[in-house]
Amino acid sequence: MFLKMLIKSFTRGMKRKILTIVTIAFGASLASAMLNVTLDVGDQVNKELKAYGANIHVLPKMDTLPLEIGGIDFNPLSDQQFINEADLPKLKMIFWANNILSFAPLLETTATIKGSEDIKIVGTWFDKKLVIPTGETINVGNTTLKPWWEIKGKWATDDTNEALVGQEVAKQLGITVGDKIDLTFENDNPPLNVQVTGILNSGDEADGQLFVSLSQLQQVLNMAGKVQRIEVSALTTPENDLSAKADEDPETMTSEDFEKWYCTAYVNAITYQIEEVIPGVEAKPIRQVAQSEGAILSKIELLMILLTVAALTSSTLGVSGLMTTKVLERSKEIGLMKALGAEDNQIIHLFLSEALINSIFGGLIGYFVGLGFSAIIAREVFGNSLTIKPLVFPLILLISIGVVVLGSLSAVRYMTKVEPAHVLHGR
Amino acid sequence: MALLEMKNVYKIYGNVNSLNDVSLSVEKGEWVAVMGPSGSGKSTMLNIIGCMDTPSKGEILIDNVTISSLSRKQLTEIRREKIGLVFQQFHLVPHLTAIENVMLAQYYHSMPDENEAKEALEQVGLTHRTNHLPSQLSGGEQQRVCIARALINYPALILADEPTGNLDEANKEIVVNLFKQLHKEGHTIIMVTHDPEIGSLAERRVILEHGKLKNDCPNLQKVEVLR
Amino acid sequence: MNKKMMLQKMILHALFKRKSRIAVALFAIAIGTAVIFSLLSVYLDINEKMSKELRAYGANLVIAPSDSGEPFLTEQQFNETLAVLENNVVGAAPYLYGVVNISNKQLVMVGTDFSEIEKISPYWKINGIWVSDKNLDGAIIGVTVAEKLKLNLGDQFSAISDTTGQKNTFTVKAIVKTGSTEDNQIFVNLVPFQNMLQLEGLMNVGYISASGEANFLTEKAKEISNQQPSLIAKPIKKIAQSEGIILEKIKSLVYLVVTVVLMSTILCVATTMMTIVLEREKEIGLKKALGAPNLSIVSEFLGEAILLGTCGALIGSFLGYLFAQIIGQSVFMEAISFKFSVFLIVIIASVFVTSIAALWPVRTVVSIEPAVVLKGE
Repeated sequence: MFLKMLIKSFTRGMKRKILTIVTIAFGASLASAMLNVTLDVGDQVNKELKAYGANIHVLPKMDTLPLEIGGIDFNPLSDQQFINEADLPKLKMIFWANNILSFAPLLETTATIKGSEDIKIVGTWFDKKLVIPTGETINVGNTTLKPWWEIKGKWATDDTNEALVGQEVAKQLGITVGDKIDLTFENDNPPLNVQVTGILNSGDEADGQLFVSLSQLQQVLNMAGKVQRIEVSALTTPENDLSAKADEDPETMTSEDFEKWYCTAYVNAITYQIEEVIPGVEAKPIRQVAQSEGAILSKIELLMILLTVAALTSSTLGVSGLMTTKVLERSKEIGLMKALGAEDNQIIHLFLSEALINSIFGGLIGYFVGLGFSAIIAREVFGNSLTIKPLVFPLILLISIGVVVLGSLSAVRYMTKVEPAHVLHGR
Repeated sequence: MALLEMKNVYKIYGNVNSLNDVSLSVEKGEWVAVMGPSGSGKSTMLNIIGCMDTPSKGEILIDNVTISSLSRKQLTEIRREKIGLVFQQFHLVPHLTAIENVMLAQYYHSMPDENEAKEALEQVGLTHRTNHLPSQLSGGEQQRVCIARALINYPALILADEPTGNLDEANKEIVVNLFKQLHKEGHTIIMVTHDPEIGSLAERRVILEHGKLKNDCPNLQKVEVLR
Repeated sequence: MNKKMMLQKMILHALFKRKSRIAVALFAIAIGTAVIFSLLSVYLDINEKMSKELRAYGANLVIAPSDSGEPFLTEQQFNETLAVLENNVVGAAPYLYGVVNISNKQLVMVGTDFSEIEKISPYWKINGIWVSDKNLDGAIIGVTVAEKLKLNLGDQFSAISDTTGQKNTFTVKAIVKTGSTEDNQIFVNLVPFQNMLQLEGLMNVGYISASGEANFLTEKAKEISNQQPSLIAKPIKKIAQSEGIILEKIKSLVYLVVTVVLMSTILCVATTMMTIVLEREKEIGLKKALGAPNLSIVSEFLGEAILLGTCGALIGSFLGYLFAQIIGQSVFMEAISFKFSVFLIVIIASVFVTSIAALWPVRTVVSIEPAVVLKGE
């Protein structure tokens, strides 16, 4: 009989039931879209912030102080220490290997072109296909590391004599795309003949430099397999007290703290791990990028959390308000059931079962609609697909059941307190 | 000329004839009781006369106006001008006071007039309860508000659908007496009722069965006082 | 009493004599409006606020002498360029470089303005205290310098200029860590360093942190270069352009989120209104039976909806403004400005939505025969 009443109350007034379910579904879709986006926004924005370039510098441990002004090092090359190029793939073998998005080695020297002043020549990777020890192949280099680089012409290719010329150098020496130029080095190094494939506009000191393939430069300088430093771009977690503690000295931390720190993608945890796998180097967070990134990221996450709270509140109140009205609307029915001798519990039981069915339907529909919404947001804003967080699904069902049941419960309880005669006579 | 003229009226729902070839003529000042078992078409007939429903076939004239061919808007106008309705369920607007419920009918008809509404309530003996909400009134009082509301626009025709159906004996008597008084004052009343006692108060009894007019006879042994 | 007063009375009674239902509706409208109000306020402010936040990345414009001539610019020239940027300047620091000798080690010393550095480079991690403008012998040294020269906070060191041979003594007030070239440099106040190098009133470059998008900066940079041919102003592309990209992303993110919230909120409010009206089916039927023309029933419900919508929106705007402030304070540490346009939009939207939501069911009920509505008991 209970089942029959339940079914009847659904088949009857189907139109109004649909309205209820649609509202619950919309509330749930809102909640699910917001939760999906909020839970994912950290990763997504983090990737976007990679536009600011490398956030970690890897340098050889040095005895001397670099004498660098405006990007030009006044120390002679011979005094310097180097990192082995063969060690680079190890960057993708640290604990947080997946968070290492890109990196590029740099080897710098100066050269003259047609008797000009000294110009800084940088040997680097443009878009290098790298096989890492795990067997994977990845593309790294300045193409991915420096998204703000604007190239007139096209990018140079690795391991060829192609070169990119900074726009200031190009202007100064009248170099255009397609030119072949000779780089004359100090000491007895042989000259390097390069073909200019692109003029670089980067808006920083790179405009005054000339970029060639690393292997070519190593060859002429007789420095095979050596690089001076590595720029690394990594996805990181915003800093907090724990990472600040580790900043002082990770060795002084309790083993529990250390483990937690080591297994979180803090920038200093990543630099620590880089120093572990590549001996003789110093990995330094570039604070201008790393620190600001953390600041921006936590702002956006907080903003999204607040927006989610707002959205959840509004849909919760909307839905529970609706449920209250729906129950009040059926006061006559409740009065009648009471008049026929129904126990309060039986009435509550019936209404809650109905609410439960409504909320499950609404929640299910809402979850999938919300998935659609968040997919649209992910595509429109970040141009990539959404990572579906499995946590959201049970959460949405729980929230919608909770909201609907609570919304109905208060009204039903209120109604059962009313004398049946009053309700039936419309007082 | 008759106030109400029904000529061969049919109302068909699917393949059920709710009204089957009903012809009836009511003179001004008459009190007609429409009786019959439930489902016999009494309420349908009343709804059609009250311009709240339209016949499937046949012609109806109120005050020489053929209503069976009017548009809904025109029907609303006739209902407003010519007809006062009294319901078994009272149907008062729950959030308006007694006097406001009466004034509501004035509002739709012409102009709300508080004094006139007060008078109408006085007429049904509710002077002391003008500012009460329906929920604060007893069933009989609610029905009396309903009657006051039906009377307020001086309708040509008062239609009452089981006006005593929801009332206890004491209240029933008050309401019945009100109708008697209205009749005396010359109002035309068509009343649907189950109650033979009340039916016997009317001048004329019309009995419906399966949508057909079975009996239409003047009430010879008209009883002056109930019980 | 005239017709208008009766209408007013009916509407007011419908609102005040049905407290519980109206409370529910009002509540829904108010909360909905509050959410929309706060989100719109935040959305309209987000550009400015995020732009300020993104200044955390530091200078986005550099002023340098043009290639021809001396590698210096005067402080006066620098100040003139700042005038071009008007109040968009967040901070502007002069940089005068010089190579000095400390304990037989050559390194780079920079004369600058510390209070400006604090503004343009919030990412500097300082161990110690910032040097005040008046402290002529205070220095902030890079972390690598401190390591290599074994200098600690409070230590004194003397530096000899490579060019003039003049010797000055400085005290370490703080050690800075940035992960870039600053780690290898020593920073002192501009004036004593100018004296030491005998370059009074001069600097090598000026770093400016200015609010504004990449296009704006490019334009201003051109304007500065045109105005003072001996200078070159260059936006630091890495910062300026990335900022544009990030801002765009954040704006569109918030835009889409606001749209989604808006839609759902409107639907929630609308369905609540619809339910409340549907509940009064009988009342509508009765009024029709009493001879009410459709228009007057519609205008009654419309009046109710408008009143509800307005009241709800007023309460909602107030709550929404508060909520916007909570967001503003906790996310951006700043107030979100009150915008009259948002207030207007919210009121209009609320009235519009409640009216449509109320009239939709009225329309269906009105088209039913009153007998049918009154019958169903």
